[in-house]
Amino acid sequence: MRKFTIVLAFLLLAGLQGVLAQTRVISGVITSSEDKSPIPGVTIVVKSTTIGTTTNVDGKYVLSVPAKYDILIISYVGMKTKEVKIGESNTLDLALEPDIMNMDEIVVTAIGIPRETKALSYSVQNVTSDDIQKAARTDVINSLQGKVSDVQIISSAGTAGAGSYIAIRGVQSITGDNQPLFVVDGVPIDNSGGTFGDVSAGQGVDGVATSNRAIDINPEDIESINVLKGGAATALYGLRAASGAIIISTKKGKAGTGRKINVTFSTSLTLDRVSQLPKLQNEYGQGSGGQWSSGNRITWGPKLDTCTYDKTFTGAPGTPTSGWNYWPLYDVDGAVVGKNAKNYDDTKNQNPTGEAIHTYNPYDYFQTGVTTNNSVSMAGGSDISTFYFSFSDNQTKGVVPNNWFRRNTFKISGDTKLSDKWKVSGNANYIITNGNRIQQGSNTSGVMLGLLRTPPTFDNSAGYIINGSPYYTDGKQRSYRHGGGYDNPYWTSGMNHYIDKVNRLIGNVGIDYYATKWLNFSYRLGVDWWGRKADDQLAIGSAAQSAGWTKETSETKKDFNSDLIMTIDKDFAKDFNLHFLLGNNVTQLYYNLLNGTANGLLFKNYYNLNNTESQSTFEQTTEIRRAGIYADLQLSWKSMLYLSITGRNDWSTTLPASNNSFFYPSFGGGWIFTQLPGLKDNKILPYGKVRVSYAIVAKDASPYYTQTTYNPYTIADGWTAGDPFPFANTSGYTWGPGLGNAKLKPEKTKSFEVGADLKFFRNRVSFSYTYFNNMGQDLLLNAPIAASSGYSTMYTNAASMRTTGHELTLDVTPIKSKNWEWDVTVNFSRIRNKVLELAPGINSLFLGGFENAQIRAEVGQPYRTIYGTDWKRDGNGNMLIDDNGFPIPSSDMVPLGNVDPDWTMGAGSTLRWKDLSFSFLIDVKHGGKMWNGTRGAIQYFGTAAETADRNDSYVYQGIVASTGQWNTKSVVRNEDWVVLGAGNGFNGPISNNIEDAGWVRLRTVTLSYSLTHLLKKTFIKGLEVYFTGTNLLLFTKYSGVDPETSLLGNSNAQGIDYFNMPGTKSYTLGLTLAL
Amino acid sequence: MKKINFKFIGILLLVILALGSCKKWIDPNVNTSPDSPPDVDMSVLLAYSEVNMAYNTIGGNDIARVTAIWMQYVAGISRQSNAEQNYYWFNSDDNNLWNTNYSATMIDLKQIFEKADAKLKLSPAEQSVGHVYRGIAGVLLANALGATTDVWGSIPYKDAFQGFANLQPTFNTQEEIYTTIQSLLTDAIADLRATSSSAQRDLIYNGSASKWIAAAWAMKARYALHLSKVSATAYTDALAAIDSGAIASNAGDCDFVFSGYPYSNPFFNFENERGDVQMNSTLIDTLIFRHDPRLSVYADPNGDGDFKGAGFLYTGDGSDISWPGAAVAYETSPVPFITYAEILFIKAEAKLKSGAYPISEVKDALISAVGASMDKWGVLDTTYMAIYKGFIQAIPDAATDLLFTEIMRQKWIALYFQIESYNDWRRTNNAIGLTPNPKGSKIEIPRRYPYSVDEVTYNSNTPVVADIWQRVWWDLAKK
Repeated sequence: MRKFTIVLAFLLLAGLQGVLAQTRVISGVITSSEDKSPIPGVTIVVKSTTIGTTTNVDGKYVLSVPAKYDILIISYVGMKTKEVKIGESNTLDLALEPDIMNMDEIVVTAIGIPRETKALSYSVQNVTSDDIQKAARTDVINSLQGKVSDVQIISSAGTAGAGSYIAIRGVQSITGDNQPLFVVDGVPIDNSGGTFGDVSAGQGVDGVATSNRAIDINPEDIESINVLKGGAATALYGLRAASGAIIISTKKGKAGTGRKINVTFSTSLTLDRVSQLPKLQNEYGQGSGGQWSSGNRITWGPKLDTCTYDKTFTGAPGTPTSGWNYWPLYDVDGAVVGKNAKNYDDTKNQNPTGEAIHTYNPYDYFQTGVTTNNSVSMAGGSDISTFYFSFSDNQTKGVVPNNWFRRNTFKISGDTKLSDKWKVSGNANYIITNGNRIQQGSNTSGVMLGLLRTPPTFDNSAGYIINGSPYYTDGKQRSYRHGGGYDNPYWTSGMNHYIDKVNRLIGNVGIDYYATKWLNFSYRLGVDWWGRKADDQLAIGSAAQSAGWTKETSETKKDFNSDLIMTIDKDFAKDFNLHFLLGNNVTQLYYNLLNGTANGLLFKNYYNLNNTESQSTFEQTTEIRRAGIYADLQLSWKSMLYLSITGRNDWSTTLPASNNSFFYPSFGGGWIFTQLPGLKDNKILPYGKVRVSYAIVAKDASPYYTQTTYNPYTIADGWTAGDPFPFANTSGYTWGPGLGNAKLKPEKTKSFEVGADLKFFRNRVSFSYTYFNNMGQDLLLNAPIAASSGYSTMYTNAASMRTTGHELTLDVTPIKSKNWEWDVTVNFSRIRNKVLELAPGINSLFLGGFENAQIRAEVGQPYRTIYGTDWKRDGNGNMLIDDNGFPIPSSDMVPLGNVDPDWTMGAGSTLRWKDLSFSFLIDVKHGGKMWNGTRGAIQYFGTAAETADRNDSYVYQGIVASTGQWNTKSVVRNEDWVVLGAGNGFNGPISNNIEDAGWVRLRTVTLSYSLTHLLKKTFIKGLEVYFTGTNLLLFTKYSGVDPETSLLGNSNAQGIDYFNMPGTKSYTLGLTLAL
Repeated sequence: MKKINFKFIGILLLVILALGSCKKWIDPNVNTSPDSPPDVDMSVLLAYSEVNMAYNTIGGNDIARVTAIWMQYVAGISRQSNAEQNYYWFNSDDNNLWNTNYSATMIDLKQIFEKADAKLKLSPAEQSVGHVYRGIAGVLLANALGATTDVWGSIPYKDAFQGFANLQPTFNTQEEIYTTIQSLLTDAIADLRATSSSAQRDLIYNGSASKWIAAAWAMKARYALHLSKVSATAYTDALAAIDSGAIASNAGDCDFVFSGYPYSNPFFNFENERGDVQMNSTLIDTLIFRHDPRLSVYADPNGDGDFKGAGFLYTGDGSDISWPGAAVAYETSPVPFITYAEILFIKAEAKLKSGAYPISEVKDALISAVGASMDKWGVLDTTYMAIYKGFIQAIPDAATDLLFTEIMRQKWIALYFQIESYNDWRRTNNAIGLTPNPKGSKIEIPRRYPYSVDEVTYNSNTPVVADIWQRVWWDLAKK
C-alpha cells in the first residue's frame, strides 16, 4: 500500500515547479505516531508553491526551500495532513497521526485515474506486489486465486505454460469472450490465446494446452493489481472492459534517490508434483473374458494373483492373434498365464512355478517439475527524472517429461519533467515466451489417455529413451496395443513436440501537460505487438498420423491504443470539489494467422513443410478499429456525498456503417454517513459508506458479420474431413453460409450495484458488501436458421441473460503492535445466472464439449449447464431398472447440472511476529459440476479402481420398470455390463460421471523472514527469504484429477474433463535482496 | 494567462481534430474480411458448386452411401452404417445434406445466375459469357433440385434463398418442382445455344457448352422418366429429350472426377476415415452369378483373394468381406451426375413401356447400355457381350415383364452407388427385386428422407411427415 502511494505522490508532484534560487536545505525523517516507524513516500510541499519532494524508504527527505517561504505541508494517505512552520533548525522531523477518515486506499481506476476508494460508488479490490510475488506463480492470473471476490480463475491444466480462465462476476456474453480487459500502466494489453481451435464449432477437445498472453507479464514488475468488477467501474474503458478489468500498475523509479540506484534481486526455486490423480486398479490384467490377451485394448483379463509369467512361448508379431501369444516386443516380462488350469481353458499354457505377476504404476511417468525464477531490477530517479529497469528469467520444467516453458522479460520505464508544465514518460517491455507443450485430451497422442488406458501389467517405459531414439520397430511404436490405438505417453512426450515461441513488445509513451493547478492534459499511446510461431509435430509412427505430420503456424497481433485526456480538478466553492474528465480513445486491433499443414513426412525427424509432398495453407486476418469519447464528472460535497456520472460514446467498425455509434452512461453515488454531525468521530464506527451505481455497458459485434461474403471453405459432410479449396489448383468460393446482418447493434448489459463499506474500531475491522444485478440484452450470437433461406446461420442480437451476485469482504486485524500483527481476510461470493432468451426457435446453444457431454446455454437454465444423457427415470427421479436388475439408459439429452459454483470463498490470514511472517489462504469452491469423462472411459477399459469390484454383487437403487417395486435384484458389474452394456461412459448415460467439482484447498501457505534489520549497517537495504506452498492440501469429492481443470482451456465451455492433464502442488523457496 | 489560453485552444483543437477524424478512422471497409471477399468471379462459384454437388448433393455420404446401403450395393457392417442398413434414419441424420443443398449448392448456383444475368445487360461478348454460366448453372440447379425433391418430396424453391426477406420459406409441391426442373433445363439449353464462350473452372466439361447441352437433354429425359407413375407422357417425353441431343457416348458422361488426395472421392474419405461399409452379398452374388466382369472394379477381393459380400444376417467383424472397389471407393473414383449408360437404359425402358417400338430396339438399347457400362470401367469383354447378347435375343418378344426386369436389374448394376437406382427402385416398385432387411426397424425399404431437424425447428412451414416409408408424390403406391 505504501509503496503504491509513492507512485501516487509522484503523479501529484509531477506538475510542481523546479528548484528556485536562494534556498535553504531542510531535511528530516517522517515517522508514524502509531509505531514510530519511518514512512516512505510522504509528500512534503512548500506551501504556496509547487516545490516539493517525497520521503525515501527510510522516511528521510531533503528539500530545498526558497528563502521567502517557511511553511511545509506534509501529507500522506491515511495520515492527517500537517502544516509546519520551519524554525531555525534545518532539520525537521515529524510524526504523522493516522487519519481514520482518510485511511482509505488509493486505487487506480479506469483510464489510470488514481482515486480514493471512499470516493467510489462501486466495489474494487486490490492485490499488492508482495502477495503476487509470494504466490510464486508463473502466470500472474493464478496469483489472484482466492484473493478477490467474484473473480473465477481456473487453470486449464497443471502443465507448464497452460492457460487460465478468468471471469469477473460470471459471464456477460453468450458466445463472446467473457474475460476481463488487462490494462498495464493505463494501456490495454492483449490476453488472447489459451483455447484450442474454434471451440464454438465443437472443436478443440484435443491438442495442447496453450498459454493466454497474460502469462507474458513478469509478476515481479507488478506494483499492484486492482480488479474493476462492475459496469460503473469500467464504464470509462468502454466495450473492451465490458467483462471487467484487471488494472496492473508496474513498479517505477522513485524520485529523489539521487545517484543511488536501488537494485532488487529476487530468486526463487519451485518444485512441482502432480496432485490428485484418478485411482486405478492393479488386481486384474489385460485381456477380456477373464483371459489374458496381449495387445487387447481392455483390461478385463485374469485376476493377477492367480497368474504367473511364462517366457517359453515365443510367438512373434505377425503370428495369429488368437490363443496364447507371447509378444516379447511388447510384454517384456513374458506372457501372463495361469498358475493352474482352473483359470484357463487352455491347459497348454500354464506355469505353476513361474514368477508372480508384478504391476506397474503408470503415474511413475510424471516427474518433479522445477521452476527457477530470477529477476533483477534497478530503479532510481532525481527530482527531474526517474527510471526503472528489470530483467527476468523464468524457466519451468513441467511434471510431464519434456514439457517446459520459459519466459524472459526486459522492461524499461521512465519519466522526466521537461519543465514545470510538461512531463514525458515511456515504457517498453520486451518479452520472449516459449515452450514445448504436450498433447492432451481426446487425442490419440494425449498423455493421460495413453497412461490411464494402459493395463497395470504393461510397462510403458520399457525400452524408451526420452529425447533419444525410442523403442521403435516395424514402423510401429511400443504400446500396449502392439503399437496401435493410442500413442505411448513416453512416445508422445519424447517424439511429438509442440514448440511455440512468442516475441512481444508492449510499450507506451505519454505526455502530460499541467496547464494550471486544476487543469491538465495527458496523452498516451500504447502498442502491444506480438508474434507467435508454433510448430506442431507428430512423428512418423504416431497413432493419429502414422505417416508423420507437421503444422506450422505464425500469428501476429498488433494492438494500438491512444488516449487523450483532459482533467479538471477544482474546489469551486467551499465544500464542493469538482473532478471532470474528457477523453478520446482510438483503438486498433489487428490479428493475422497463417499456417501450413503438411501430411506425410518424407524423412524422419525433419519437421519442415518442404519435407512433404502436399501442403495445405490457411490464412485468417481480423482487424477492428474503434474510436470513443468519454466524459466523467465527479462531484463531492464535504467529503460526505459523492456523485459520479460518466458517459461514453463509441464508434466501431464491426457494426453497420449507418449505425456504428453507440452511447452508454453510468451513474453512481456514495454517501459516507459517518460524516454526519451526530455520527462523526464515532469510536466504534468511524467510517461507514453506502453506495449505489447503475451502468450500461455495451459490446460491439465480432468483426465481419455485417455482410454476407464468399468463402473458400473446405467441403465436408459431417462424416469426413472433406476436400479443401483450392481444389487441385482450382479456386472455389461459396456464398455464406453465414447471413450477413446489416442491422447489428451492440449488445448491452445493464448493471446495477449497491453496497456498503464499514470500518470499525480504528480500522481494525472492515466490512464490505456488494450486491449486483447484470441484465444482458440484445446479446449477440450466431443463431441457426432454416437453410431454405439460403443460409445456415445468422449473427444477431437476440439473447438475454441475467446474472446476480453477492460479494462480501471482511478484514479483521485482531492484533496490531510493533512486534505482533495478525490479520484475517475473508472474501465470499455467490453468483446466480439464468439464460432468459437465446433466439427465436432456439432454446439451446452448444458452447463446447462432445456429442454426448455438452456444455450449453439453455433457456431457463444457468449459462454453462452440462447436457447429456441420463438413465430413464420415473416422475420422482428414481432410476428405472429392467427385469435383469440393470438401469435402463435413455437417449434424451437432459440438463445434468451447473458448471459454476454455488458460492466461493477465500479465507486468508497473516500472522507477523517482528520480522517473521506466516500466512495462508484457504480457497473454497462450493458446488459446481464437472463431467468426469475420464472416469467413464477408464471404466470401459477396466483400469479404473472401481472396476476391481467386477465380481462383487451390487443392487441398483431404483424402481423396477415392469413392476413399480423397488429393485432388490443383485447384479455383477462385469465386462458384459461395463464394456458391452451401458455401464461405461461411451455407450451409457454420461450422468454417472457428472461429479461435484467443489473443493476446499490450502491454496497458499507462506512463511517469510526479513533479515533487513540485521543488515542495517551494511550496504544491503533489504533481505527477505520465504517459503510458499501452493495447493498443498486439496479436499474434494471429485474422483479425477484436481477439479480445477478445463479441457477447453479458457473458453466459455468450462466443466469438461476428458483425460485432462493433472494439476500440481508446488513448493517454492525464494529470496529477495535489495541493494 | 493569454499564453495558457493559446495552449488551451491548441489542445482543444487537437481534441476536436481527433474527434473529427473518427469518421475517417471508422472506415466501413475495415470490416470487410480480407479472407472472405464480398465479390468473386462466377467461375469460382461454379467450381465450388460442382465439387459440392459431387461431394454432398449427388455423391455425398448422406445420400449416395445411404441409398447404396438401402439398394444393397454395400453393407453397413458397423456403427451408424449398420443403423442405416437397419432402416434407422432420423431427421438429425440428413440435416447436413439438407443444409448443404440449400445454403451452399443451390444458393451458389443462384449466385451464378445473379452474376450472369448482370452480364446479359452488357456487350455481346459479355452476354455470351453470361449465357454459358447461366446454362451450366441451370443444368446443375435442375440436377440439385431433382436430387433434393426425389428424397424429400415437397421442398421450398420459389420463396427460398431470400435471406432476411424470408427466413421461413413455404414449400412447393414436388409437382411444381418437377415443372421447375424441366423449365430450368429448357432455359439452360437456350442459354447454352446462345453462347460462343466457354466457362472457366468448369471441373466437369471444361466449359464446353455443347457437352452441357447434351447433359441437359439427358437430365430432361431422366426427370421425365421419373414421372412414369404419374404422367402418361413420361416415356415419350423422355425419348423426345434423348432424340433432341442427349449424351451419345461414354465420353460425354457428366462425371465429376476427383483428382486424388487430398481432393478425394467422399466415399473414399468415408472408408478411409471410418470404414464400416463393405460389399453387400446382394450385389456381389449377382455379379458372380452373372460372371459380370465389372466385379473387379466394383469390389476389391478380401484377404483371401475372394469376393464376398455381407448379408443382412452377417455378424462378423468384416475381415472376410470385400471392400468397395475402384469404381466408387478410390481416391479418384468419379461421382457420376448422369451417364451415357443411363440414357441407353432410359431408352430401353421407355421404348418397352411406351409400346410403340419394336422389341428389337428395346433389346438393342439394353445390350448397348450394358456394353457402355462395361466399357466405361474398361472391362468390356467381347466374348462375354456376345454371350449376353444371345441371352437377351433369346427372350421372347412377348415376355416384356422378363425383359423389363432385366433392364432394371442391369440398370441397377450399371448405376452402382448412384442415387438414381433408389429412384428406379421406388418408381418401378422394386423391379430390381430387392428383399428388405429382415432385421430392419420395419421390414420394408424406406421410401423417403425425413425433413431435417433444423428445417423442422426453424421453419414452421415444414410439412409433417409420418415416417420414412411415406411416399413422395411421383412414387404412387400402385401402377
